[in-house]
Amino acid sequence: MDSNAVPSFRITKKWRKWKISYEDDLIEGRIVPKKRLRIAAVGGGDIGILNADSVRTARAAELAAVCDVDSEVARDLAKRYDVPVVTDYNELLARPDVDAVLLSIPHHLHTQMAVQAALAKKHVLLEKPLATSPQEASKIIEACRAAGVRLTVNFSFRYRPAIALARQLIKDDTLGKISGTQINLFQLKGTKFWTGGFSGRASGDWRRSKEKAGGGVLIITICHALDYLRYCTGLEVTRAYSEYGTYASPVEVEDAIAVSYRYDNDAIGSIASSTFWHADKRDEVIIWGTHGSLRIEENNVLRLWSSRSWKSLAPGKEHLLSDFPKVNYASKWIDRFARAVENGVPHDITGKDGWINNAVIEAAYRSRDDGRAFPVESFPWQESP
Amino acid sequence: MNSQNIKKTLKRYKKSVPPFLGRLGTGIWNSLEIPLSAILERRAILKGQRIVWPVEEVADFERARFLGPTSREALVQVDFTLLSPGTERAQLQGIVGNDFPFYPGYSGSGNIISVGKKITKFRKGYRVAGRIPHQSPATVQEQYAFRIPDNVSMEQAAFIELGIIVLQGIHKAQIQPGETALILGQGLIGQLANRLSRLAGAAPIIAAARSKAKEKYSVNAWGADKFLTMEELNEAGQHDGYDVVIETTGNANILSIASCFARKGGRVIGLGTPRGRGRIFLGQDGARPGVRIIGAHISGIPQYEQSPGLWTYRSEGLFFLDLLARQKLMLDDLISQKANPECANSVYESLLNEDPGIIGVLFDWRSTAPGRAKFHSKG
Repeated sequence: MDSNAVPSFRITKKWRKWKISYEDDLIEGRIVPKKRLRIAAVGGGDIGILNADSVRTARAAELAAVCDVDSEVARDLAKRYDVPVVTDYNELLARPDVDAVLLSIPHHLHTQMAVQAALAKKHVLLEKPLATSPQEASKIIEACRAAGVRLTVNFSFRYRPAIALARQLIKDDTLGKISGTQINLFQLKGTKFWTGGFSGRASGDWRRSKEKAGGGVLIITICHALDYLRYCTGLEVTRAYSEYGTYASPVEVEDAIAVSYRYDNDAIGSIASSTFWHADKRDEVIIWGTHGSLRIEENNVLRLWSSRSWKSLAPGKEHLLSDFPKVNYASKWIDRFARAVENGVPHDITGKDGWINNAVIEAAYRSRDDGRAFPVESFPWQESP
Repeated sequence: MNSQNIKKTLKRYKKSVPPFLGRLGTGIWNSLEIPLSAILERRAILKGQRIVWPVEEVADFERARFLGPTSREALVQVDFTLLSPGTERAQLQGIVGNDFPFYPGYSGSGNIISVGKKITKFRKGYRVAGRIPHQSPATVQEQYAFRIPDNVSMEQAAFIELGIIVLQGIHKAQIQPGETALILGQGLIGQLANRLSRLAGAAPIIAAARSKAKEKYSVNAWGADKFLTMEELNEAGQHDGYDVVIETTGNANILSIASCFARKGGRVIGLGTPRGRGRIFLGQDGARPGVRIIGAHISGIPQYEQSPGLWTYRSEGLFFLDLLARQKLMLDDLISQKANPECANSVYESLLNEDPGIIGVLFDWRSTAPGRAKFHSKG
């Protein structure tokens, strides 16, 4: 499996609208492997349900069991899925019919439960972020390496066709030399979110705690954009400076943040975010270079302006690219992990990606305490399991 | 009423309507302009390709429809068009006041594929050079086209307009044999100025430019004798000055610099299109008395009456082709690149980046139209 596999895009104009179709190595998805990876979904919150559903739609994997320590949530899971429901994590790890665990659990439990899974020789799929800090992330990576199991983090936004196209456009030099990026995320995360997620089906106040969540909006939400920006541009953040605070939410973590950073190619970047934004949600990532700019907007919308032509897109105009095929990107993430395990190779998204994401976030958080830009640590190993 | 009047009227009213109506009007006009003009002006519609600059600093290649020739025009299947680096860079950057979208180019060569009823000098099949934009096919007025002598290649003939621009400057300079000449700027115009000054009898000829990148094109048996960077030229300090100083860069302030290098009573020829506004300090240190500054921009060339030092457009064009036919003027070494017009985007990007490799770029239109353009005769 080539982790740098590039989809081939086709772009056609239909009624003044660009229709984008692409073909990538998903072709392998049409072949069902002889042995499917048996994955147990751990955690029955909103994301846990989504992930369990995605396991079921991944062709190379199957849902072997579901687990939640909360008996009420476990009962609900039993109604949803026709698989064994377990309330004891150790019991789950002892099951021989489970090859891997998909952990959709509070951040502070990632290290402990991932290490336990590795010790039990189960492959680990972790909901983002990898851990609450790079130090914690290192423990997970070391445990997986020692146990010889594979590890991945759910940065599955990379598989959104719009993100894949953004990466392709940058690779094809439509923007020239990348000189800056900007992440803007303004949305309303009410009190309900901080205490129970989006629907409140699995209540808990871990998101409010700095110690348990590792931080606020930056580590909970913006980590996705940080990862796919790194994926699209290939640039690494070398230092970061942030200012943040808690202004309108009953939480200990930040509910608004501004970050500035510098990349290894000298490009500059920034983040601005608020979680108490009552107007229409604004979620956009802007990338600009010497020859063009690209805006990645919510709902798979790209706006490209380039002084260079790309396929049928004429230079010198802003092109709205919005007609993308629908892809279950979480399912693709799981499917590709199952195939990576079968082929004995690392997944596209490894512990290294999760670790680097944690390192950038930690540099941003620590910079405020220091009152100056904080360097981002380098990944201490060559590769990651 | 013809299409030009409609265009002017629309432009006038565009300012007084809401912007979205203006945009709508522009969109409708853009799609109707060619068919409407063809009906109003009783002209054919042609299909072809051209280079377009949609906005500042962006070039593209497009397939488009054009109006066919009028009764006083010939239709040319274009073989080569010459990129004029200095002028086109300034136009592409929008610093000479042109609007966008802009359709560049003004010098090329090709074969006549049809002629208007009132054309007397040309026939179908003639090889011609003249004022041709970067497009194929192209229409050209009789007075702006020249028949290419048999022993002159299409590539050489595509230099025609630049040749005329420089020749009329050389004529205005009225160079006498043995006079010293300083050519400031070593772009394509500067290179031609080196060579035509040599033919006029100037000696020695000093070529000067910001960097040494173009020295290999400048100094040779048919061009300049010596190459100096502007720094070296300044360091050389005071001496008697040059009889003729030809400014080719279009730098509006360079005339005052040039006046420092002209000898007492010398001539300074302004060949380049001035970019921006400049100030001339004739009284500054180094300027010598009696220096004449002669504006030699192509726009001042007479169409009909000729006088010594003031040749007409046609005489200059015919003389340029004659020099080529008699092999008095070498141009082949100035062709640095033959580019496919479909690569216009990257060619102009190199031009904007001041790529020193760009000197004489010819767009080769032969490869873009394998089936040749469709010509819809009026029947």
